[in-house]
Amino acid sequence: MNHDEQHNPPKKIGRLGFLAKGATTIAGAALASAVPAAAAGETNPFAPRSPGMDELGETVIAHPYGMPIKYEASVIRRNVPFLTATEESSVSFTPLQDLDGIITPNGLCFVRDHGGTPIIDPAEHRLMIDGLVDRPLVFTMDELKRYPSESHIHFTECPANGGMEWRGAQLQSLQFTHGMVHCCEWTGVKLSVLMKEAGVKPQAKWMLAEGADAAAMTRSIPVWKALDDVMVVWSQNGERLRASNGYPVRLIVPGWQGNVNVKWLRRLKFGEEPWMTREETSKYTDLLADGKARQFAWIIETKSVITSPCPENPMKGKGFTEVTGLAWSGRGKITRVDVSTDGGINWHPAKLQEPVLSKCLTRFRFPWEWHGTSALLQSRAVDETGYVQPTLTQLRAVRGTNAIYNDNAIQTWHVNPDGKVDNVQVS
Amino acid sequence: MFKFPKATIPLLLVVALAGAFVIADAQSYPSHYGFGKPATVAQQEAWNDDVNGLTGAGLPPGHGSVAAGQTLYEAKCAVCHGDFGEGENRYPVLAGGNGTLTSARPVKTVGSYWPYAPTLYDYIRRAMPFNAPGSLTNDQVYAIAAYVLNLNNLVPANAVLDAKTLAAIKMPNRNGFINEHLKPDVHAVACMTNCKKSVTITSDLARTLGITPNETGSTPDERIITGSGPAAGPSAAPAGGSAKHVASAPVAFSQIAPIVAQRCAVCHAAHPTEAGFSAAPMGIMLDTPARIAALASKIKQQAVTSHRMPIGNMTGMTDKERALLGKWIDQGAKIH
Ligand code: HEC
Ligand code: HEC
Repeated sequence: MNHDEQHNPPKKIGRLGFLAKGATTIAGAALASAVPAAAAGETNPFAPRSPGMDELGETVIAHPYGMPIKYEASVIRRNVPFLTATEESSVSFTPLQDLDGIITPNGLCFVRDHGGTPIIDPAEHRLMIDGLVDRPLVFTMDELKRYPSESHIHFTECPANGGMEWRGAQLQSLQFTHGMVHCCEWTGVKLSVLMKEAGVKPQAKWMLAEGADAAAMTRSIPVWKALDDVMVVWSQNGERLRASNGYPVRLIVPGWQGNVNVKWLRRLKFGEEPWMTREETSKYTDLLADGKARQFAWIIETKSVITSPCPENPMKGKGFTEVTGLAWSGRGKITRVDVSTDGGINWHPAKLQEPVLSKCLTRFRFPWEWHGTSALLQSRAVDETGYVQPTLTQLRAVRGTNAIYNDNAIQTWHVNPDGKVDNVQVS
Repeated sequence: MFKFPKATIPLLLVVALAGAFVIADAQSYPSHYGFGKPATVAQQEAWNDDVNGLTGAGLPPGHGSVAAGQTLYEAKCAVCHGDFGEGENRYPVLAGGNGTLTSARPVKTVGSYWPYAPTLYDYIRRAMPFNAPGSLTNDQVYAIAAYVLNLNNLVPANAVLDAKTLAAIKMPNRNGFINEHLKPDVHAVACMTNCKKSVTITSDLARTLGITPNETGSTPDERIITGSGPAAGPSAAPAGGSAKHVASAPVAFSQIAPIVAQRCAVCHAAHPTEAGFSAAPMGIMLDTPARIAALASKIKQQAVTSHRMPIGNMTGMTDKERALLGKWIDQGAKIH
C-alpha cells in the first residue's frame, strides 16, 4: 500500500474527512493495477474519484459576486508603463488572447482614462442638456432610467489601438497591439429620445459631450450622428456600468472612436459649431507625412486580428490548428474575413461565427494544417460597404508613419518552426 | 396629449367589441415623457464653462499677464511640463517643435500643433494642473495661458490677455487640419491568389524588445523611464570628504522619519492631508518606515540629487534636511 499512498497523498480531512479517507485507501488499491500511476509528486487525474468528489464544495453564497477561479488569475488587464507619464492618464489593455466569442467580460474591458477613474455616487449625479434647445433639462439617474431603454451589442475601440506599430513591429503581444477594444451589450435610452424631450433647435449642428472626471473630458459630435444611433447607457453586459467604463452613465457612439463615447457623462450642450477641444485638435488627430492632420476621423475602419495563435498563444503542435480571431467595422457588418498563411500572397475565406452584428466584434475561424514550418499568418476583413482592410504599406502610403491614431492595418504573426509566434511586419 | 399610433386603433376596437377592458396605455410609447426637470438658469450657468476654440465664445471676463503667468506656471506646472515647457519625463511638451511636423519625430506642442488659442484656455481651466484640476481662477488661467503662449514666442513678454486678445491670436498651425473624414482614404482590393511575388519581413523589433504579458513588463519600463541612480547602499556614498563624514556620523532613521512625515507624507500617503490631493501621487506612499526604505533610491533622486520634490517645495524642505536624507540613504537607508 505504501507506494500507492505516495501517489495519492492523503487528502485534507474536511468535515466528512473520515469517509473520504476510507474511500481513498480502497480506491488507491484498485487504481494501482488499473491505470498507470502518475509520477511522484503529481496528482493522478485518473483516480476513480476526482478530488472535488470527496469533500463538500464551497457554499452557493461563498462569493456573493463571483470572480474567476484562481487558475485563471493571469487573465487580466495589463498596462505598458512606459507608454504614458502617469497611470491616471493611461491605458490598460483587454487580454484578447484569453477570450472566446465576441463579448468582453466587464472586468476585462480596456480602460483608457485621461484623469483617472472617478467614483461617482449615482444619487449625486446629474445629466444636463442645454445650449440650443427649447427646454434645457436636468436628469437624475432615476429619472433617466424611466425612459424606454434598448440594448445593443457594439465594440468600442480607442483609435490609438496599434498606435505603437506605425513605425515598426514594437510590441510582442496581441494584448498590447490590439487590446484597446472591447465589445459589450449596452443598455440605455436612445439619445434621440432625450433630444426630442429637450427640443433641440434646428440651427444646432453640433453637440458637446462632457464627462465628470478630472479631465472634464469634452468632445464635439455632429447632431446627425447623435440622432442616428447614439445611446445614453447605464448598463454593460446586463449589469450597471463599471466605474472605469463610465458609471453611472456614459455615451455610446456606435462605430466611432472610443474617446467620443464620453464616460461619466454629465452634460450635453448643443451648438452651431464644433468646440475644437484639446481632445479633437492636439489629440485624436492623425498627423500626415505632409504636416497636415486629419481631424474628426471618427469612424473606426474595418479591422481584424488573429487572436490565436499570437505571441501569447504559441502553436500547440503540428497538425490541425484552428486559427481564430476578431473582425470589426465602424461602418456596419463584417461580410467576409480571409486568412493568409504566407504573408498575404494567397488568401482563404474564413468562417464567420454567428451572430454577425453591425458595429460589433465578429468572431472568425479558419482550419489550418500546420506542418511545423515557418508561416506568416494574417487576417483581412471586408465590411458591408465593401471596404477592404488595408496592409500597413497601403496605409502608410496615404498617412505616413506619424499618425498614431487609426491604425487598422492587417496584422502579421510570424509562426516559427519551434511554434513561437512573433509580431512582425512584412513587405 | 395622448395619441394612439394608427396601427393600434383597430386592435383596441376589437378588444372593446369583445367586451374586455380597454387598457389603452399599454399599447404605445408616448411622443413625450417629461421625466427630466427644467434646468434653471443658475444650474446652467454653474456648468456652462466650455469655451469654443474656434470662436472664443465662452471665454470669461478677466485678464492675466505673461509676468503673472510665469510665477504661477513655475509653481504649478513646471514640475511636470518643465521650466520652459520642455516636458519632464514623459509629460507633454508644451513649447517648441516648430517645423518638426513633417519630420520623422514630430514634436507636437501648443506652438507647433494647436490650431486655436482659446482651446488652451479651455483645457487648462478644466483639466490642469493635472493633480488639482479646476483649482485656478479665471485670471490665473489667462495669465498661465499667456505665459505658455509666450514660451512659444506667440505673444510678447509684456502681453496681457483677455477674452478678446486671446481669441485674436492666430496660431501658426491654424490651417493644419483637414476635417471630417466620413469616406475612406485607403482603397484596398481583396485579391485572393498570387497577390504579390514574394514576402519579406521588414520589421521584427518586437521580438528583441520582448514587451509581452508573459514577462513582468517592467523590464523595459525601468530602463526607459527612471534610468535612475544606483540602489540605496554604501556604494552610493558621495565622493570625497563627505564620504568620510558619512562613515563617522551615522544618521538614524529617527532623524529622518519626521522630515519625511512633514515634507513628503502630507501628499505621499494613502490619505493625503495636503489640499488638492485625494490620493498618493503616482501611488508613491511614504507613510511607513518600510515603504520609505523601499523607495530610498527614488527619494534620493527626487529630493536630494534633484529638487523636484516636494513639488514646488510646497512643504518648505530645507537644504540641511535634503543633505541629511541623502546621507541616510547613502548609508544604506536602515530603519532599525
Ligand atoms: C502632475 C503633473 C502635471 C502638472 C503639475 C501639470 N500638468 Fe499639464 N499635463 C499633465 C499630463 C499627464 C497631461 C496629459 C493629460 C492627458 O493625457 O490627457 C498634461 C497635459 C497638458 C496640456 C496639453 C498638452 C497637449 O499637447 O495636448 C497642457 C496645455 C497642460 N498640461 C498645461 C498645464 C498647465 C498650464 C499646468 C499648470 C497650471 C499643468 N499643465 C500642470 C501633467 C501635469
Ligand atoms: C505637495 C504634494 C507633494 C509633496 C509634499 C511631495 N510630493 Fe512627491 N509627488 C507629488 C506629485 C504630484 C507627484 C507626481 C508628479 C511628478 O512626478 O512630478 C510626485 C511624485 C513623486 C515621486 C515619483 C517621481 C517619479 O517620476 O517617479 C517620488 C519618488 C516622490 N514624489 C517623492 C517625494 C519625496 C521624497 C517628497 C518629500 C521630500 C515628496 N515627494 C513630496 C507631490 C508631492
